Amino acid sequence: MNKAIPLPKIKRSDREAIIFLLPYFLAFMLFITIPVVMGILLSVTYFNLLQPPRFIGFSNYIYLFTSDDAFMRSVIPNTLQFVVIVGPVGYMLGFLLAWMLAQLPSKLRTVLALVIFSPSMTAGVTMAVMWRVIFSGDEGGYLNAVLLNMALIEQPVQWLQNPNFLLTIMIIVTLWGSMGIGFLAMLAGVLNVNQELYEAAYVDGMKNKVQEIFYITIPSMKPQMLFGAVMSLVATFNAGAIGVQLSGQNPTPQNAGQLIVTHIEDYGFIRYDMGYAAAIAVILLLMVYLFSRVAFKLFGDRDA
Amino acid sequence: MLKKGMMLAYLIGLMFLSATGPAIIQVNAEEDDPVDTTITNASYTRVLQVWYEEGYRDDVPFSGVVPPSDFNMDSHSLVNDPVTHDRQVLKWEGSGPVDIPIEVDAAGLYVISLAYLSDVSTIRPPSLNVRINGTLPYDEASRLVLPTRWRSESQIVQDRYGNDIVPNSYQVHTWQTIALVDNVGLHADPLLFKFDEGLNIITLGKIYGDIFIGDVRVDMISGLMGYNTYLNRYQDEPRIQDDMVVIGGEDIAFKNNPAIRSGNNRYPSVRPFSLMESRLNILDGGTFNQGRQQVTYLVETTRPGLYQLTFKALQNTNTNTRVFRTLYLNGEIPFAEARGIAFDYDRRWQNVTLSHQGEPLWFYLEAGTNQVTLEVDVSMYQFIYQEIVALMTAINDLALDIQKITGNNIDQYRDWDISEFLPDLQQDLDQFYERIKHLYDLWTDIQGTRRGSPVTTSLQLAHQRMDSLREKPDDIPKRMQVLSIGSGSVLAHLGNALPNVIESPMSIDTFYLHGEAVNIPRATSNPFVRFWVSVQRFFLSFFSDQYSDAVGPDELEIWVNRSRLYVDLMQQMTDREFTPETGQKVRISIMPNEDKLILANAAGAQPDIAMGIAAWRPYEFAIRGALHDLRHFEDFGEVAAAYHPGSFLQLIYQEGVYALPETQNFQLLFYRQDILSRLGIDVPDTWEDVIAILPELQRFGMNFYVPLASTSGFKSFDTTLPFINQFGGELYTDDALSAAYDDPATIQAIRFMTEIFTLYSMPLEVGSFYNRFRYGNLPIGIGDFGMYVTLINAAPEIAGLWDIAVLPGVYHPDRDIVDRSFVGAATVNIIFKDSDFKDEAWSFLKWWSSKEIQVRYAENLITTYGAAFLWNTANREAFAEMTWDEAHKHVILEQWEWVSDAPKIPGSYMVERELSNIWNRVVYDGVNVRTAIEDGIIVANKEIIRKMLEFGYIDTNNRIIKDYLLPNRDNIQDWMNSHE
Repeated sequence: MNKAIPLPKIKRSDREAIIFLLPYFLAFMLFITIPVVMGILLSVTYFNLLQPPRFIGFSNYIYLFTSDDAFMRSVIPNTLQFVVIVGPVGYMLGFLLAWMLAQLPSKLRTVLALVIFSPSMTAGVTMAVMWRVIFSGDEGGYLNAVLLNMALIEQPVQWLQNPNFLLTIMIIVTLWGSMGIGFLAMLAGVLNVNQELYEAAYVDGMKNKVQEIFYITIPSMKPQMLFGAVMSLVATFNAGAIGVQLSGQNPTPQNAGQLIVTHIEDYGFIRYDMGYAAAIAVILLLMVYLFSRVAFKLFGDRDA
Repeated sequence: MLKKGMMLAYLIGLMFLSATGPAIIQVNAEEDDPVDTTITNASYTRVLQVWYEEGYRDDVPFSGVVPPSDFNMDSHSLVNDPVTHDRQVLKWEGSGPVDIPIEVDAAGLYVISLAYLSDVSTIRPPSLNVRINGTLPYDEASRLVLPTRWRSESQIVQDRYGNDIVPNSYQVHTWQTIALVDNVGLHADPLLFKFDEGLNIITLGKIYGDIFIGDVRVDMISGLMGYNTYLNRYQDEPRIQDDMVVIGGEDIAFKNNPAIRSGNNRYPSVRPFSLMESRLNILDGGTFNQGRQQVTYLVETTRPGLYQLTFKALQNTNTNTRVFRTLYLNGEIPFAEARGIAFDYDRRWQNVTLSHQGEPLWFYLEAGTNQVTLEVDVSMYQFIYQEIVALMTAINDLALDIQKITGNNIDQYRDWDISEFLPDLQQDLDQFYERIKHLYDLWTDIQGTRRGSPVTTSLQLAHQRMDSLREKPDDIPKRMQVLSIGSGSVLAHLGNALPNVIESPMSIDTFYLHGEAVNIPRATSNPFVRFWVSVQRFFLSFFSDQYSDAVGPDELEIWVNRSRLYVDLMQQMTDREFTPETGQKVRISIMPNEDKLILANAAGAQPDIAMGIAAWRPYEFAIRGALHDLRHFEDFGEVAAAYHPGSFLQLIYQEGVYALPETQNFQLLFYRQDILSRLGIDVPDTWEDVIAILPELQRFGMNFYVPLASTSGFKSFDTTLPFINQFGGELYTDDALSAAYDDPATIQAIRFMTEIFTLYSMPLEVGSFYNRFRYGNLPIGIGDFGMYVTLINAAPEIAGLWDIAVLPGVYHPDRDIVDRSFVGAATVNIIFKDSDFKDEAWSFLKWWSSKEIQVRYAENLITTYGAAFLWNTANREAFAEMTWDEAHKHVILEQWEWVSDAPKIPGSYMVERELSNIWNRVVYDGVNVRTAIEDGIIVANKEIIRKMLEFGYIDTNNRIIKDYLLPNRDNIQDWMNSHE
């Protein structure tokens, strides 16, 4: 993910360039590079937060891949399922909404964009509080009340405690809140497409809006598409806390909604096993990197 | 059959009525007779109406006094007046009643007044009931409170940063005379009692509190004069022009409830103002909000004359709701218009000049010291309040009629022709609909606005739901949850509105006694001032000591995970007593988040002591060598003796004890006396009894609550372990290397924990036991200390109707005891290993946890901040001396004997988790208990082995290197004794 932003080519004197680069470089070092390196270093130690770390080689990784049942049985499948659904669906939804908004007059568009964007600004906890009311497991929960009213169920369903429903609900809630920065970038991208291209294409025989999207809009906004894809991936991998907030516990019942991020939190802050948590974090980093490579393959500018 | 049905209707109606109304059935053992219960529906309003219709008058001139020497009593004695020593008064100690004979000239309705002197030292005021000629005239007479008088320490102490500390209150034992009034404050006038001509007997029965009683009077009710009459009377007095007396709302001379207190408001126009420090500068409206609460101020005037009164007040909590206050001058309401003075909702401070029809009111005051008293007046809402109660009763009756026809389990696919059975149904529903609408109109008329308030929201929702019901009455059997069950029903919405109707908060910054030519300072400050103040505050905060964590070189540093109110009082008591005694300076800071301790420890910046720590945490710290073993201190055994051994179980690691308990949680059986006694159900003693009463409860749509049904998905040891302990099961094998779910008794416990849901249909997820306990559909269940505090403080409508008992347990015939084990861990105190002041820290902990200091701290908390601040100390000796309700205290102490927390081993959190997962799999996925247990053991053991390896108890071949000492009650008992 640290390669996501292509740097401009430097042609002038090195000294000026360094001065201009310095603030970003320092911030990047301080907030990205050093923590990542520290994380990698910690992942080969035994560190319980209270005593100094002790080097133990690759034991953490060995345990992770050979013995951590919860990781292999629940966390990885859950995370992949979560990412594969929320990532692409959220991304497509983001593009679709952006494109639809672009068809609207500007005032209405601004208002609607804000409305769609606002869930992603809301803090996770506030969001969880709202959704917990909806999915509450007694007959006072909104969903239960509606279903009971419509006589579709006879007993209230414990949505958030029953392992069969938790992951699905997490996906729905995350999708609802996924119209973030990537969505705004795509909106800007759609609006930025040169209108003359459309006119030219119609002269050349383009027939409908669908062709418009695939032949003009998407090719013209590749950078924004790439940005949106990476943002959506990173956000999805990091959006693990929602399951914990919804079910009110870490780990979630029977690990039903356990994702990598919550697994890290569990080991790091509940089981006091920071070295192991760091090892999981490194794996998460690799996974994010891998997926963002895929995104680059799909949307990257091959000419550059 | 008919009889049974009627009884059923009656008792369910009763349960909801009593759950919601101000009507209180007094449930004393000796009074629990049919007479009391038959008058439950007799509210004062209705009885009074009947009396008037029967021709009784309230304007018969009469005045009679009965001195204590004429009282008839069994065992009570006359003593010298303890204050004035010049007369004989009644010292009323025991619980027996007092008969007061009085000759009345003519039959009529009269007011009873009483001179009394409170002899209670607790914050709970004395209360009694009144019978006239042997009968309780109406519900309100069954519990009458005699208010006590409280004063705050006038000296305001400041903490080390210059912030004012809320002063303590103490009771002023003084003679007071009051005319008997209703508790809630719905009736503006004193209560009227019907007396016959000739000899009448007034019987006072005691509910709580020792008091002295002086003269008892029976008088005609005295009307208040109108404002015009008042003005005429003082027409020769000068109308003050330029004088102005300013009194701070925080300068309360006395009050009739210790919970009323001053507070801090940081708005720039509030006086006294301070940029950074918090000053006590207002009367805190959040504590001055219940009917009949009074505060009194002393006002010095230099000349006699007619004054105007202006309050700078703030009512911004209850949106678009008017609150009312009644003004007393020198103990009297000067004229009728001084009652029910309205204060409107406003987001900002406002100046309210007391006025009538647009004209400012004039009040006559002599020169010298005058008392100005403000009373919370809710009588304006009397009709609305009583009508909501009446509606709720009627809806409940209807719900019960329907349930009697349809039974409890309703088939969603069956169509009902319920109107056949209940021909009036449509009419009833229409009538309910109209009555709710009427309530809404009345409410908005009083408010003068139709804007949304908490009450209008509830009423509108109730209205909508009722509308949807009346459209298809035949669907009601399938839609009972809309009518009466559950949190979204008409009934619940009405129930939500009820307390909001009479909640009347209002803060006061200052009030002005002034002439008509005076310009009152503006109540609000202009936006520039507000902006400038916030800019200053922002930048000054960088330099404020309050936010820095530097500690002096020889100061003991303590972090406390509690709110500022608790910490302020701790620091104050420490500075006042501990530091002078020992010379040791102590700095106590708030720790908002316990996780900070981990990071602080990693950075070497940990405090000497941390207090208020969750009880599971010390073990995790201790096993990693961050804590000091308290057994190293010589006198640990003496200190520990004040605690229950069971409270130490999870604080032990190997041979060491790494924390001292601070507070104690309880699990108790809460039950509704009224409902259970009407159902003829006894309080269960064992789980078998519980199972036995379930069918009866469930027949009426009620149930039993166990904490396993709380909303959290994770069933912690708090909820699961008590069952295992009660069944005599084990959590770990003896070598501590394996979970012991497959212990026969443990299997039995797990089976029971799941069967109460799968087989016996206890509710699986309960949003709020507290609310459903109040509504009456979970009339019995297991709650904790928090529930106890909430019920005592926030559920006046069921006060006296519920009680607590020890937990149901498991009977062990071999030992002939019922095991009632529970998990009661709350918070603990720890000393860090890297502290340089371990001995000082220990002497502080010893001092703080000593019986005297704990008792004093508990009392100070209550008298300073109010009754909600109950301190549940873990020190058993201190707890036994606290001023709690004696009967409750007795139950709690008995239950306390059974405290048995979860002993810890490395990886025991996995044992807790897997127990939760086993339960979850059996209950939700229908997995066989045995299978779930087998799987659970594998997962839990894996983690235990991993952790045992990590901490060096076994080697990689699972060979034991050193033994792990499994903590149990016996070894802690030995350690306590060994030092004695």
